Amino acid sequence: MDNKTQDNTPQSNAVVSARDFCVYYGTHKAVKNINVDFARGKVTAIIGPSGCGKSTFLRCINRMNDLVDGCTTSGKLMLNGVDIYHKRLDVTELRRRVGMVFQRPNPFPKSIYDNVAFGVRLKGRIARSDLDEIVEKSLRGAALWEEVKDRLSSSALGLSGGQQQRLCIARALAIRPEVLLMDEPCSALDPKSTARIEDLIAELSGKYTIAIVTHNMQQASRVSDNTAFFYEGNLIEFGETAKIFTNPKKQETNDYITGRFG
Amino acid sequence: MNDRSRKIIDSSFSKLAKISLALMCAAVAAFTLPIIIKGAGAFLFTATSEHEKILEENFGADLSDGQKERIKRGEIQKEKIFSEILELENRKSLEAQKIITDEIDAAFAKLQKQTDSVLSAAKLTSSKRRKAFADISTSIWGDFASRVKEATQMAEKNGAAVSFEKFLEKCSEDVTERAKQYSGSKALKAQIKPVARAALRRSICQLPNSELELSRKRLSEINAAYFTFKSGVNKLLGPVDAKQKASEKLPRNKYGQSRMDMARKVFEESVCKIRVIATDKNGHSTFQSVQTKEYFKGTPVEKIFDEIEENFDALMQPHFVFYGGFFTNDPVDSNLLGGIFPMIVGTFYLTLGSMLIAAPLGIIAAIYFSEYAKPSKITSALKMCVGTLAGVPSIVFGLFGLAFLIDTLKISDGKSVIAGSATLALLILPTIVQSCAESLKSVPQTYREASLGLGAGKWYTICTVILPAALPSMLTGIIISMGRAAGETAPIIFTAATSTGVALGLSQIFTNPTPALPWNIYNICSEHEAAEMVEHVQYGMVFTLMGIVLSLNLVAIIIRAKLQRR
Ligand SMILES: Nc1ncnc2c1ncn2[C@@H]1O[C@H](COP(=O)(O)OP(=O)(O)OP(=O)(O)O)[C@@H](O)[C@H]1O
Ligand SMILES: [Mg+2]
Repeated sequence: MDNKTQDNTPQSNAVVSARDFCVYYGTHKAVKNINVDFARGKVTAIIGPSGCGKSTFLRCINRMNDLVDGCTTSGKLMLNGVDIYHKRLDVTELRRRVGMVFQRPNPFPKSIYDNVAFGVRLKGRIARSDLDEIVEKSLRGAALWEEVKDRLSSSALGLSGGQQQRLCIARALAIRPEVLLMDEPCSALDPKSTARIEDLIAELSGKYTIAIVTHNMQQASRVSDNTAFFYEGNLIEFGETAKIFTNPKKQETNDYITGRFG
Repeated sequence: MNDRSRKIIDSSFSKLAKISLALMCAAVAAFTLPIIIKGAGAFLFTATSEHEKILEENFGADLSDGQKERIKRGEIQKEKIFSEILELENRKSLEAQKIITDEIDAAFAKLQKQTDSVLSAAKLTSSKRRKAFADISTSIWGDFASRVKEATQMAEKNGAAVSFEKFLEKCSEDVTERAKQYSGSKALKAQIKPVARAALRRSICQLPNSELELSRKRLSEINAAYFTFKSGVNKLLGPVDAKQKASEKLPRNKYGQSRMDMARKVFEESVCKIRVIATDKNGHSTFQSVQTKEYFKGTPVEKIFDEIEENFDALMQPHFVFYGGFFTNDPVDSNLLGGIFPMIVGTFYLTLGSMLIAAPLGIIAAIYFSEYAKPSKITSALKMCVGTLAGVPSIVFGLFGLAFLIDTLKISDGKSVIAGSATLALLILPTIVQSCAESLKSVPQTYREASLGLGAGKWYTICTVILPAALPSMLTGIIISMGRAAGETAPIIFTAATSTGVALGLSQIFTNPTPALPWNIYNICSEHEAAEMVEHVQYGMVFTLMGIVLSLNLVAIIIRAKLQRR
């Protein structure tokens, strides 16, 4: 444990803050006593060897782990100072504010348009013209508009993997979340698609608070402002990306980013 | 394992698989081809002119001029045969009858004369007198008997067996009556004592009657043979005249054969061959099948037979038809005429009814199992129950339907469509639950995550993402269950099926039982009084049922392909 100096009040510009946050799968403790703040409008990269609990932590931020039987948490995880695991919290409302992009592109087997409109329609009836506008804006935001504007009504499953992933980003953007969680969004993509998505993240930063899990050190250093290094469920080091990559404080961090393990 | 042996195993396995596949295909073909070919024969066949006549008189079909013309052509030919038959039956074998009448008169004249001479001979002891009377009767009736035989044979030859048999019957009464009169006459009474009179009467009555009786027996055997021939002809060509047609109660007897294949069969089995009673030496009577042509050799019956054989096509007027009414007409006279409309309607009612009950219940249960139920002992117990239910024999469901739905819940007074549908629904429910749960489970978890991740609720996710994605394979499962419901027999025996009846209206489904294909197939194959006459209907029904089930499966395939393309 590193974060001995426990500070229970989140920093003023923190959107997501964890305090002594643990996650258990049954009795197995997968994430251990995390204390971290994700700053507003910043991109935070989460790195670490496989199985260290990156996904687990990320999925807790919009409570996707509720789907996993036997997954429990302790400690505090807050969104804008509100406890995410509070009993009376509206989970759907939380998920609308915290969008997520998964490792594998997972568009619905519906048209491209319907995919983007899905989350918007959830909020209730909306005029067709307004919906059109939101869809276009989201697709432009995800840098996909030019490629699909002529085939909005064709199936999303006909898109390439990179396009599908950008569609999933557009789908997440369409409901204007505060936070965007990305779990290895480029791991199934070729370098060109990866580059596009990295550009996209760069464009989105500032407007959205983004947390991205990645195994690609270059990617982490390119796109993120801050980096968190996880190891065996612990948060080993957290700080500005430039500092972590040039001058890590911990031996494990250094070993990991120089490729000695993981 | 080295490379060589791996190759040998691979190739021998693929060969084995091919052989077993080929065997399977061959078995399916061997099973379905006859059904398809013979089943198609129920509505595509060579008909006779009777076919249109039946359609016109029973189903109000409008006949074209050509069809009317054809019926007329056939009728003219039949008329010839029928008039010969009628003439044959009415013919009086006057010659033969005259012989017998004359014989009887002569016999009684002789009797009187000889009795007188016996009586006038004085002082005869009673035993001598008895003997004398016996001698008289032998001398009189000896001739008489041989003449009766001769006349009988003559009548046989002329084909006048019917009228002559009746005539002989009358003669026998006549002789007895005259003998009584004679022996009781005043003149005789005065001369002999009662005892002697009785002896006289016995001796004069006995002999002729036994002789007449023998002839009558012979003639009645011939008559019986003739009537089997005639009923064969009736079966083939229809009733001989309007009077007979009106007197027939069963519709099947009002018409000749309407299909050429049946006509040939009837001709070979009931016209070419007849059943006769043969009495052996010990007096035991047995039925025997003999050739008509041999039995009636040299008689007018043979001529009629030859005429039918020679003019067979002209009589039947064969022509190829498509009988769409097989699917839309009600059956007449236990399916011997008409179509299978009520059975098709009944099958649809039962199938759709069971679907309307089972599909919603099954889908709801499947959604519960795959989306809501947390893994627990109760859930797995429930799943085991569903699995067990799926393995319960269908006859048990039938009994359950009768005992619980009808007798306990009283959802209807007796068998009814609704009771049958509910029973079938219970039967297919477990399969639907299982297949739908399986379909829902096979929806990728990523869809759920994507939907929930966008802030959708569980119910919304199920309705807009999971159900649409699972729909094609759910529909496949449901439609295959529907095919099963359409073909199940045991459950509806107890709860819904009846062997005859007309198509039900929608309002009757709560109260009335219905004919339905699976049950009627069984019924018409094993319980039918004339099963060999409705073979085409049997195959037609099986064909239709298979058609319904296969087209349901085809619909499933098409729906799935359509939905998957979307
Ligand atoms: N559904 C689950 N049930 C039980 N244990 C799980 C489950 N998901 C993950 N775990 C365990 O939790 C730990 C952390 O897993 P997690 O998926 O968060 O790792 P990760 O850092 O995302 O790894 P990777 O880089 O390979 O994606 C692992 O030990 C894993 O075995
Ligand atoms: Mg992971």
